[in-house]
Amino acid sequence: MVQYSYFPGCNLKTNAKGFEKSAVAVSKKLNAELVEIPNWNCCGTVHTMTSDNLMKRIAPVRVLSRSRKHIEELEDSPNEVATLCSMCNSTLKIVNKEVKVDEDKLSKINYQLEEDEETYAEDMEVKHFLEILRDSVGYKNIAKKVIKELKGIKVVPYYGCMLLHPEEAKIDDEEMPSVLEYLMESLGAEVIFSPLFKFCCGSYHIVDDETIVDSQVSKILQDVRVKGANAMVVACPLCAYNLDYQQKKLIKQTGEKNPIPIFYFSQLMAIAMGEPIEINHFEDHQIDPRKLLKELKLEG
Amino acid sequence: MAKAKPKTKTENSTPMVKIFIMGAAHEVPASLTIMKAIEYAGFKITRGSGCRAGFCGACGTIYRKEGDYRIYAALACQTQVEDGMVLTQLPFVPAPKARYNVDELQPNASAMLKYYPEVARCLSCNACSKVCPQEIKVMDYVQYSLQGQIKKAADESFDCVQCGLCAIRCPAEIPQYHVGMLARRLHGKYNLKAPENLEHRVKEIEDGVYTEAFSELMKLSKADLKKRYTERDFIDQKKA
Amino acid sequence: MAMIRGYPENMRKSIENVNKTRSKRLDQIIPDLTLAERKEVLDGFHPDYNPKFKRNITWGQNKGDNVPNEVVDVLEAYPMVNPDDIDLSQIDFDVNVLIVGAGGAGTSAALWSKYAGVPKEEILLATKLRLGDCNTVMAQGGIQAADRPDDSPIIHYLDAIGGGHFENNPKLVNALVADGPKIIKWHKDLGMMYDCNEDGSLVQNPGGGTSRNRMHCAKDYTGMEIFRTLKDEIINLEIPYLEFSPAVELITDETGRVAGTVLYNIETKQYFVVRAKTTILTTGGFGRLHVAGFPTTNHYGATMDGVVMAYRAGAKLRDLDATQFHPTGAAFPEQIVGLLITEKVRSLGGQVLGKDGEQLCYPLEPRDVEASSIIKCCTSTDNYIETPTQMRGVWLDSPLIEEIKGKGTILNNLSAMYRMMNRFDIDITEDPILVYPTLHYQNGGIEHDENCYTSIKGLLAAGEISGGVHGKNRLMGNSLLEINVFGRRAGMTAAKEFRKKSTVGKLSLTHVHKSIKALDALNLKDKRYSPTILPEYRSDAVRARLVQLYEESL
Repeated sequence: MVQYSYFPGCNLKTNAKGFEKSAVAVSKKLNAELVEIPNWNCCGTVHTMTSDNLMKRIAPVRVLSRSRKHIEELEDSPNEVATLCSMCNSTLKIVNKEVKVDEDKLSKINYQLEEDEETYAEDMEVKHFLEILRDSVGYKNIAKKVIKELKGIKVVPYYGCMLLHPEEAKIDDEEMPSVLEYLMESLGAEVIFSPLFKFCCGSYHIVDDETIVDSQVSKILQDVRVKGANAMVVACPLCAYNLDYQQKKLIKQTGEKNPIPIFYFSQLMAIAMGEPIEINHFEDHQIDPRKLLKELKLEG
Repeated sequence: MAKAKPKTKTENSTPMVKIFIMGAAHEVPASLTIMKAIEYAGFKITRGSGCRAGFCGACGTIYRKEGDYRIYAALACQTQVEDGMVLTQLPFVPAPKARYNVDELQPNASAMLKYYPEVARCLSCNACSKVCPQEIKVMDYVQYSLQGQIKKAADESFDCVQCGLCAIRCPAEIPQYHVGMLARRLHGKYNLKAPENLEHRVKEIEDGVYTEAFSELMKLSKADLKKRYTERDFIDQKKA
Repeated sequence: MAMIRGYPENMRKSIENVNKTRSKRLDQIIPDLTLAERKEVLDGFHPDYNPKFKRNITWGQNKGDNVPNEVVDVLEAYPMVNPDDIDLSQIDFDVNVLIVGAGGAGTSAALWSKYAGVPKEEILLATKLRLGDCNTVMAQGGIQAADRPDDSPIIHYLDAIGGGHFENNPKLVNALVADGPKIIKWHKDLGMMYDCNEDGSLVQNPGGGTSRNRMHCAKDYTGMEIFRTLKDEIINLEIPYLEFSPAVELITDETGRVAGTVLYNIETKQYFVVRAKTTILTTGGFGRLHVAGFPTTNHYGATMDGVVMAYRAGAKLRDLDATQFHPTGAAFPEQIVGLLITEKVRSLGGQVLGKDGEQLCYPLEPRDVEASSIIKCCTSTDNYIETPTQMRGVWLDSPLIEEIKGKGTILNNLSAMYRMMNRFDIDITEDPILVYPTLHYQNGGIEHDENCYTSIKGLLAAGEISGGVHGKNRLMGNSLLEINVFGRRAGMTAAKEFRKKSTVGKLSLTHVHKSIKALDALNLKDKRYSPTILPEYRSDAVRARLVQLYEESL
C-alpha cells in the first residue's frame, strides 16, 4: 500500500467531516492511503501572508517538517504531503516554493525551528489529493473501482479561486481545468459546464458581509439551474460552506423550488465505490444530497 | 565596595554557588532548590510558593545563564540552583478565564472558539511548549482545540499545573492553560461518561438500601466490630 | 561523588540487589500483620507512640490531652493580633456564609452553598495564599468510593473504621462512605477526567488497608484534577474570593456564637472585619509545623491556623494525638526529601525493600503500620540504605510495576512521579525510589457532627481541620473523599442556616481576651504567637540580622 502523509486542516475536522472521511475511505481503495500527521498545526492561512512576515511562515514550514518526519513511519511514501482543503493546499504550496528559492528566508525560519528539532530541508512537495488521483492513481484505476455508476447525476464542477490561482499554487490549467471533469466522468456522472466554474464564492466575506456572498452564490447557482444540472461538485470547504449554507438561506427568501446539493468530489467517489453512506456526513449539509441520491437509487 | 559576610556553618561545609535573584547576587548552598535558595537568601516568600512539590504552579520562575541568550523556565520548588543563574519568579499571570456553563456546550471546536477565539491566532511558533516546566506540547494542544480534536487536547494538556508561563510567552496572546482546562472539562463530561454502576449505586443509597445495615453496624460493640473487620474478605488483591 | 543515572555509586550497589531479586519477587506475597502484630510495631516505632514527641495541653477545652509538642506550641501561644487594635465597628464584608480556607473542602463548601440557594453575593471565600494553594492539589493516588457491584458502602465503612483503630466517629464514617458515589457522580457531571478502562468503566485501584479496589484516580494528578475543576466552577459561578488574606482570629458575639473573622492581608498588611452568620473553617492541617521534626508533604500554608482560632473561641478538638506519617516520602535526592511518593506506586504493585533487595512488609498495610515497619528497618536494623547526606531510607521498587502491568504503565499512571524524579536524572521505570516516612496528615482536629456543626454556634468545620472521620489513622483516598463529602455538607448546612431568621449580635473579641488571660496564668517560659500563618525558612544568618522599622517611617 502506498501511504501519503496527509495534512487535514481545521475545516476537515469541523464542518467538512464528510469530505475527510470519504476521501480517506476511497484513498485506501485506490492504493493511495491518506494517513493523518499525528500532530499537525494550522497551515497558516488565517494569518496574512505579507511577503516579509517570516513569523507567520513558521506554521506552514513546521507542517512541512512534521510531515517529512511522519513519512519515515509510512509505507512506500513519496516525499509529498497530501492536502484536501484548497486553502491549505495553496498556503503550503506557496510557502514551500518561497523557501525553496530563498535560502535566507528558510534559514531564518529554521533558526526558530531548530530547538524543536523541526528544521525543514526543502525536500517535500505539496500535493492536493486531486493531483494524486490524476497523476499517481490515474482515472482508469479509479474507474476500475467504481461499482455503482453515478447515472443520472448531472454535475457542474466548481473550482473556486484557490485551486487555480495563483500561479505558484494552481493544480490545473487556470482557463481550461479538467481534473474534476475527468474524475466525474470516470465515476459515470454527466458533466455539465458552467462558465462560472471559478467565479468567486464570496470567500471570507461570509464573516463580515454576507450580502457579498449572497450575490455571488445566487449568480453561480442561477447558471447551474439554467444549464439543467442537478448537483455541484467542489473541492474547497469554504466554497462548499458558502454554496450550501447561503443557498438554504436564499431559498427561504426566494421560495426557489430547485435546490442544488453540493458534493465534495470524494463523496461522489465514495458513493460510486460503494462505501457506506454514513461516512459522507450528509446530515451536516443544509441542502440534503440524500434526496437526489434516493431519486436516482444511489443511496444504498 | 567590600562587604563583610557573616560566616555560617553551612557555608564552611557545603559547596556554594552564586545566583542572582532579581539582579542581586547571593551565595547559596549548591544543593538547594531555587525556592529554598530564595528563602536562604533572606526572602520570606508570600507569592511564589504554594505546594512546594510541583503541583500548584505558584512558583513559575524564569532564568538565564551566563553566556547563554536563552530564557529558561522552571518550577522553583522542583529545580536545583546552578552557578550563575539570573532568575525571577512570575507567580501571577494576568490571563482572564472565560465564564461558561459546561452543561450547555458540546465537545467541539465551536465551544473552544466561542470562549477563546484567540486560539485562531496561534502562529505555531511553539514558544509555549518551550517554556512549559511540565514539558507539555502546549502548542499542539492549542492546535487540537482549534481543530475540535477535544480528546487529544484534553490528554495532551492533562499534566498542566496552570503556572501560566505559556501565556506570558505567547505572541498571539492566548491563555493556553485556560484553553486546556475547557478542553479537559468537555472531554471529561461528554466523552468519558459516568458508568451505569455508579448511577445505580447512587440510587441504591438514596433509596435507603443500606440504611438498616449501617444502623446495625453502628450498634455493634467494639469487639464485634473488630471481628467483622478482621473477617472481611479481600476479593481483588492477592493477599496471603 | 560519582553519579550514575541519578544515584551515587554506593547506592547503585544496593540497586543491583533489587534488580537481582525482582523476578523472584514477582509472585512473592509477604503476609499482612494481625491486629496484635500491628500494635507491636506501632508501639515500638510510630512517633505517635513515643512520649518524647508529646506533652499535655495546659488550658482550654482539651486541657490534659497528650498531643505533639508542636501542636501544644501553637495552642499555648498568644494571639498574633492585639484584639485592642481591631476596630470591629467598621465592617468590611457583611455576608451570610464565610468560608475560611480555599482548598478542596472550602471550594466544595462554597459551591454547594451556592447550589443550595445562597446567592453568590452572600458568600465569601477567603484564603491564605492563592485559591488552590492547598494539600488537595498535591493528592496524587486517588479518591475512594464504593460504587462497583462487588463493593458496598458497608465494606468501605469497615475498612475505614478498622484503619482508624475503631476510634472514628461512626456517624461521620457513615456519611463519608454513603456520600462517596454521589461525589464521584458530581465530579463526572462537572467533567473531571477520572481514568477509565477501555469498556468505559472507571479504573479502581487498591489502597493500603482497603479490602476492595475502590481508588478512583486521574493518573497521579487526582487532587489536581479535582481542584482545578472546582476552581473553574468557582470562577464560572462568580463566587467572590479573597486571596492572600488568611483569617487570624474568629469574631464572636455576646452570646459566644461565632459571628465572622478578622482577615489579614499578608501583602498590604491591613486587616478586614468580616461579619457572617455562618463561618465555615476549612483551613486544613498542620504539616508545616514539622511534627516530631519530620519533613512534610504538605503545602506552604499548612500551619493549623483554623484549629488555633477555633480553640480560642472554645471549640472542642479530638484525636490530635494521632499524626499521619506517609510511609513513602522521598529520601533522595536531597532537594525533594519529604515530598510525597504516592501510595499508588504500591497500589500498582511496587514493593518495599531493604538494602538486600528483599521485601520488608506487606506493601499495602494501613499507613501507620506501613510507616512504622519502614522506621523499624531504618532504626533498629542495618538493612537500610544511606544517602550521601546521611538520610536513611528503603527502596520502593517502581520498575516492578512495569514487570507486572506492562511497559508504559508508569508514564500513563504515574506521570507526576516520573517527571519529579526525572528532573533529578532518576528514571523510575529503570531504578527504584529511595523512601522514608514523611509528615503527611492531621488525623484529628475540630470535632463536628455529620452536618459539620461544631460545638460552637455559627461555626462549621470540614476537611483536614476536623477530627473524627478517620479516627487515629486515615486510609489512602479517604481525604479527597472527606473534603468533598463534608465540604458539600457544610455548604448545604450553611444554606439551611441562611434560610433561618436568626441574626448575629454585637461583634466582639472577648474570647481572645479570655484566651490571653488563660495564657497569662500559665506563666509560659517562651512567649510564642499564633496562628503561624507561614513557616520560617530563612537562613539563620539572615534571621540574626532582622530588624523591625516603625511603619510610619517608611
